[in-house]
Formats: sequence, C-alpha cells, structure tokens
Amino acid sequence: MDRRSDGGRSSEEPEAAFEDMLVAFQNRIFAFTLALSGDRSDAEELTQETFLRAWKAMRTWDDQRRTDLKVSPWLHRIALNLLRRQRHPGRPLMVRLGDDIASRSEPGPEAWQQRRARLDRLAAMVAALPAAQRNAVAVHCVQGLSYRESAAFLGRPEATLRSDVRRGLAVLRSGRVGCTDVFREAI
Amino acid sequence: MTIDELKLDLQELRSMSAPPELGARILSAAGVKDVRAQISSPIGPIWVVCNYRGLRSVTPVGAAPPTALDGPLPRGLERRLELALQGRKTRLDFDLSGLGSFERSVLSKTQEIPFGEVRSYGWVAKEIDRPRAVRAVGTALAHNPIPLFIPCHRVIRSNWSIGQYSGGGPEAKRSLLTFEGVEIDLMQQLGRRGVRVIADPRSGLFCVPGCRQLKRQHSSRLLEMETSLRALSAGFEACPLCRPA
Repeated sequence: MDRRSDGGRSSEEPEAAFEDMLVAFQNRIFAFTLALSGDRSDAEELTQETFLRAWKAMRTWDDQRRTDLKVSPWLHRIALNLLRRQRHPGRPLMVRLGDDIASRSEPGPEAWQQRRARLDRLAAMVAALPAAQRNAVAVHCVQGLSYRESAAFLGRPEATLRSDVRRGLAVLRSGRVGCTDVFREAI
Repeated sequence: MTIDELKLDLQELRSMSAPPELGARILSAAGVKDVRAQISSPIGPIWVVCNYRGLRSVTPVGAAPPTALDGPLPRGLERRLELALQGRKTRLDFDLSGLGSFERSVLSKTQEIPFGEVRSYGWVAKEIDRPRAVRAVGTALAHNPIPLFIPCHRVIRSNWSIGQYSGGGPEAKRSLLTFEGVEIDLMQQLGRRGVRVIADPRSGLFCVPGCRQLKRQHSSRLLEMETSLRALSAGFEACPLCRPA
C-alpha cells in the first residue's frame, strides 16, 4: 500500500513543482546540453535524463527543501555530470567545419533554416573543444553567466576561466576545432 | 568573422528551444503524468494506468478507455503485473490518492487476502475496526479502482455466496476464483448448510473455509460449525492466518 498518498493533490505536491520546473527550464537545459554535446538527439537524451534525475531526487523532498533549492545551477550541474560520465573525452567532430561559420551571409528567405543549421554547427564546434574550454564557453558565452558566476559554477579560479574562454573563442574563430588531442597540446 | 559576431552567435545558441514533444515525453517517462497500456488477464484484455506512485486504475478493454498518455509502462512493471495475476509474490505500488481514508483502509486490508482464498465483507469490516460498516465495505469494494490487483474478487458474502463484482459481474468473479483454485461450489454448499467456519481437532484451530491452514489436513477430521462463537465455546482458537470473523 502506498502510504504517501494522502487524499487529493495540492499544488505543493511534487508533480506540480516538477511540471513548473520543466516548463521553466527545459529550453535552457536543452540549449546547454546542445552546446556541450554538439548533437540534437544527444541533447534531447541528456535533457530528458537531467530532468529524470532531478525528479528522482526532488520527489521525496519536503516543500521547504524545494523552495530553498537554486534550481537553475542544480539542473546545469546534473547535466554537466551526466556528460562527464557518459562521454569519453576528445570526441571527434562530426560536421564539416570552416566555410559556413566563417562566411556568414545576410539573412535570406530560408533564414530560419539557415540560422538553425548555422547554430547546430556552432554547437558541434563548441562540443569538440577540449573539455575545460568547452565548459567555460558553454557556461559563460552560451548560458550567459558572468565570469565570476561561471568560475564558481565550474569550481575553477576566475583567471583560469577567463583564459579558457579566450582560448576557446580563438579556436572557434580559427575553425581549427576537432583536431586530435596531440595536436591540441601543440596549439 | 569577428569575435563579437561569434559571441552573438553563441548567445543565440541559448535561445534554441527543445523540440515540442520533449516535455510530454519527460513527464510520462518520469511517471508524473498517467500512462496507459493494454495487458492480458484472466478476464480478458485490460487497460492499466499508472504513474510514479504506482498503479492507478484497471479497466476492461471495451469499456470507455482511460484518459492517459499512451506510453511504455515503467521498466519491469508488466512482468510484475503478470506475476501478481499468477498469484506469485511481487511488489506492486498503488496510487490511491483521491480516495478517502475508509476506502483506502478497506482496499489495503483486501490486499492481504492471499491468492486462492476468500473472506467475507464482514471479515474486512471487523479487521479494520469498523465491524458495523459491512455495507460500506461492499460499496468501497464495488468502487475499487484497481480490480484484479487489489483482489476485491476474494471478498464474498458471509454465507459464501458469491456476491457482486464490479469487474464484470458475478460470472467474472466466479471464473477468477476458479482460476485461483477456490472451490467455490463446495463453499456455497457449506454456506447453504449454514457452515461458517471449519474447526480442526488436531490443531485446535478454527478457520474460514478454504484457509491454507486447512489444506494441509484430511477433510474427514474436520468439523463444520455455524458460528465462530460455537467454535470458541467448544475450545477451539481462531486460526492466526485467516482470523475468522
């Protein structure tokens, strides 16, 4: 017998809290995991797994604990941990690089399609950066956290984070993303 | 491309939205929304509806289909339902939210009746400390949202006639009990002769007919009795397994 069910459901129940959280954050987490994984279907999977884990954790919490929680950093952390666990480092870049992102054209009639394709390619390039640069770019440039917040979130000194962002941006601009780790060391 | 253009593009990545169906998929995978699926049962195909709390409803296919997302049941649940229908031990959770406390205690007591045995409405009433609420017990069981898995079919009248069954009428109830190995014709013969309990001189216990304690004995040694009171005054004790009313 389920002893947790005590009559009707109120808005404070975990289902409602979870649905609110999902509506509020699914796009942000999807964008974050897209930048980290560089692939739409990977990002969908990571987003789903992130929320499933969040749900598993929060459904046993009381209201106070749910209210106290800073939802956004928590969800981002789950996503990042999932990525760390699932992905072997130095994943090869799956798209062809260079020309499109370097020669950006004016918005045309198929602007939306083009924009999406361009951003997908950009996400793939971000995902192919070395992990430290990738995380720094995803947190600071994509998600828009300040240097200080990003450094705190990633648990790195601010100066290191700044240099990770700078180097990541330089690599993205040069289009030399996705080279082997050996070559990366040389850059 | 300039560094500023690159930064703008990266900012634009933030506005990428998740595919529209992802949210619904997450809700059903998490079990936050009810999901439904069809499975087979001894009374034919049934709809089962569940969420993360557990099983929520069971209805025969052919009646109005339940409102829920079509979705795979949680991992392993279908197997556990199958085991439960065969009378094997397995863990099942139920979502009884929305029911009153009386209904919940009736249903939870009913879950304790073992596969292949029966009890009376009065027994349930007495066990939940509401001995006079026999009729209300009947009503609560008639509205059992999860027939088969909360075995309201194992609750019959105190004269061992079969009584009503919301999951498809008395015939369905009879065929379910027969499926579980209850000798329902024999019980009804006992009932017609006024027998309510069976006493066993060897163990000194008296039982509800069909109690698993009795199945170990030879029937020739057993005594049929009209009331628990008579058994008690003859020096028998109530069987701790079936706790006859």
